[in-house]
Amino acid sequence: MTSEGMRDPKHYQLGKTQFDPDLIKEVEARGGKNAQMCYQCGTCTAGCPMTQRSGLRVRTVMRKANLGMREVLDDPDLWLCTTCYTCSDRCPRRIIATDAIIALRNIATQEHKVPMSMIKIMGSIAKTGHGVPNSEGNMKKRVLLGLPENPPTTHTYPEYIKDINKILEVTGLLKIKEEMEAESQ
Amino acid sequence: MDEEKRIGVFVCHCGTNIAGVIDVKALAEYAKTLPNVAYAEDYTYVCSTPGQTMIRDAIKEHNLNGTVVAACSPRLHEPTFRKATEEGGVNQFLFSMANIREQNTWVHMEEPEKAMQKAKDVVRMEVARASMLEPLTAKTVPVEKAALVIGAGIAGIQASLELADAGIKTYLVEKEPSIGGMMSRLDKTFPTLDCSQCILTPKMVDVERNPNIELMTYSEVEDVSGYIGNFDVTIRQKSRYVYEDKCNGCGKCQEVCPVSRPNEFDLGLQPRKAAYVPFPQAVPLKFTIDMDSCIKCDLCKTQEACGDLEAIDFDKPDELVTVKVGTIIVATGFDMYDVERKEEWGYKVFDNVVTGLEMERLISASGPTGGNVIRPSDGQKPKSVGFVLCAGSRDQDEEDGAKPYCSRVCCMYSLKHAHQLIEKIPGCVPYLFYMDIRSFGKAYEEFYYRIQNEGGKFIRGRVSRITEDPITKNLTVTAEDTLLGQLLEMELDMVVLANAVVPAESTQKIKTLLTLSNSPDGFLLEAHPKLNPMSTTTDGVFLAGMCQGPRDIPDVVSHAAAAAAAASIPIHRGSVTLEPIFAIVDQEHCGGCATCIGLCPYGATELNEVDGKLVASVNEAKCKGCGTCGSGCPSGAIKMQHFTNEQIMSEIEAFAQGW
Repeated sequence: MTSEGMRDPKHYQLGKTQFDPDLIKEVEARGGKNAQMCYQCGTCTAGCPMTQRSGLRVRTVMRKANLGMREVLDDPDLWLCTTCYTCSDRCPRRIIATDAIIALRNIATQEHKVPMSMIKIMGSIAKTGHGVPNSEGNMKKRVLLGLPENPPTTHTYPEYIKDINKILEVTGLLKIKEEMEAESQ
Repeated sequence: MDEEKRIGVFVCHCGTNIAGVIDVKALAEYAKTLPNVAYAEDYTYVCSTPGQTMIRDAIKEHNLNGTVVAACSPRLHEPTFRKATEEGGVNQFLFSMANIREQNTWVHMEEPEKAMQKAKDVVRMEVARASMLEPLTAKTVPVEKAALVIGAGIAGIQASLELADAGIKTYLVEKEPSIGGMMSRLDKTFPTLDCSQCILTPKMVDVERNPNIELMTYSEVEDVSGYIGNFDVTIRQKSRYVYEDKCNGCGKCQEVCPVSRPNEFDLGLQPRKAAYVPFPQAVPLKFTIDMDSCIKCDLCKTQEACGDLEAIDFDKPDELVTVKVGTIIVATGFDMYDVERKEEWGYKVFDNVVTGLEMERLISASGPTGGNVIRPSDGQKPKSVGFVLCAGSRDQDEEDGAKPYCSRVCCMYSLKHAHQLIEKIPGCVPYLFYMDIRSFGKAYEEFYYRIQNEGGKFIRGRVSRITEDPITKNLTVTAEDTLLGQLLEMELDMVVLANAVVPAESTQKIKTLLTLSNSPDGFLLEAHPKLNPMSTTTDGVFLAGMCQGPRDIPDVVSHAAAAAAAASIPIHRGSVTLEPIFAIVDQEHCGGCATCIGLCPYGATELNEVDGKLVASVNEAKCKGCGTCGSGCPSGAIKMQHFTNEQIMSEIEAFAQGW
């Protein structure tokens, strides 16, 4: 076989299926320890509180990431993990699947594949320091319980919001947010 | 050295292993430039017949009196080239090996230039060493015509029977009151479904009857000293508080004994008395009194019980017995993984979660329920039973004490349990939660088909959690059917955890006594994983069965027979050759300070009075040639043969000359 006839090992196309073998390496490098060790037992999915409530299937995410199916980055269910780490606690391969999901989210964010609902939450964090800011109803309940209206966070100390914005800026999130908002217009 | 040194250097290509990285011809040419080198040559495989002939012929043709082979690790082929050197008419200890494969071309294949430099260094050093080597004579010692087998499960039983049939006096030591081990607890055995008792008990009886086997049950190895051919073994025969020669196994003591406690043999599923045999088919059928629970009511000694036999004596002490053997076989078996540590499965919390071995006793005709499988919470027959495979196997969670390896028996015994449940309880459906079914043995895959055909259900997914209904005691098993990608929450009557096989706790003591090692999995380390799985690195000590790693009964029996064959070789040969690589003490210079006595890890050094003066000496057979004593000796009176200070210094000097 001539060299022209060989497939590029980096991004090989097998018929209609395309795999990227570097995806899982990136997931591992970003903290998804041992992700390549997954043997697809499904302990993660069966223990996951979101399995019954959403389309998130941790085992399937791990499978797609391992094969290098980049479509996993477009999966909106990726964003429904509550990061409770039950999957990681029970994994017989000592894979921290939660961290692998966080790594995939980070890659997706950089590729502008983060859902717009998350961008909205990002905007809320930039504005108030909270993904879910305090509400009027919540304030009333707090007072009834003998608590101050606002918790001791940026709600009480708004001067720290600018520092949170600094984090968003340094990590490049603000830029991604602006670019994505511009794209969606 | 009076005689002029004429050394031959032989550089091996090892196919492309070495020649693919460095220039072997240039290395041979380089060797010719070294002092004392009279001849140098390279060849594709020096270990082959033509290669060895080349060494022999070169010795004669070029009148060589020392050889160096630059090739693989001495662990692999030092014996080969020593032999070739000896056949050429030169003392085999005038050969030295330069490792340019394992420690060079294999690890430095990305840096061929540096690898070449290193190969030159190593060859130069070995040539220097070969110039300093002294001829030595191997010693032979006689071998005691007896063997010791530690552990009397199926492995120890098989090994003992083989040894005894080969005419060798065999001491079989078992720590429990009866022989039989784990296999005696099993009901039927996969895949043929012959009952364990039917195939094991006849062997147990054979052991008791064989005139060449001296059976020591309820006994433990206390101490081992000596070396291959001449081991002195001290065995503690724990007191049964019953004279074995007087006890006729009538069981009257057991009938009158008022004490009740869980029977270890049945994993506590039924009680036993303080005067007991672990199971009715025990060998020897001699009663034991468990002094930890005996209340000394003396009922067992009355006329209605033991009476005139007078077999019971509460003051009977332990006895220490010393035997001399030529070889030892370790057959100490395994333990089961403490699956309680996997909290998500609720073992010992939920009544109806049992282990595979407990299921074995529940299903066994000789078990506490007479083979009627019932669930522990209410005694009802279970109609749906879940099996959790790989319960603690193939699991990297060290915090839970789980094991990364495959236990090799759980798939098959769970399939067998599934078959037995279908057979015994009409309408019962077994659900096997698996990741892979490993049915690798002869007729195993066929057995898997059979269970599928009988209606066993296979769910590819690992159980994440088990919960219990506090009223019905039914269990809800949560798992993903990974083939459907669907979450399952199944209410089952009972769950069996097919827990992992783990190294036996009791093996630790034996390991220390015999200076054995273990592999990273915790099982005892064999001499070679493929070509010598029944030997150890301690000469004269062999391994049989599960103590070396998980295996099923056919493999245990084969392994045990192999160990017996290996252990009988030195005995039948009658003598063994010992490497002359041991330390010798120059008693004129020895100050008797005893530093070496404390340093020797093998107990080979001793202090004796010679001509009114305390001096050290080394037991040549016990010495392993580690050299610790020599490096510690303050007066430099200890010489390590074949690794003398001069020889080692010559290597260091030769190394320094290249830089």
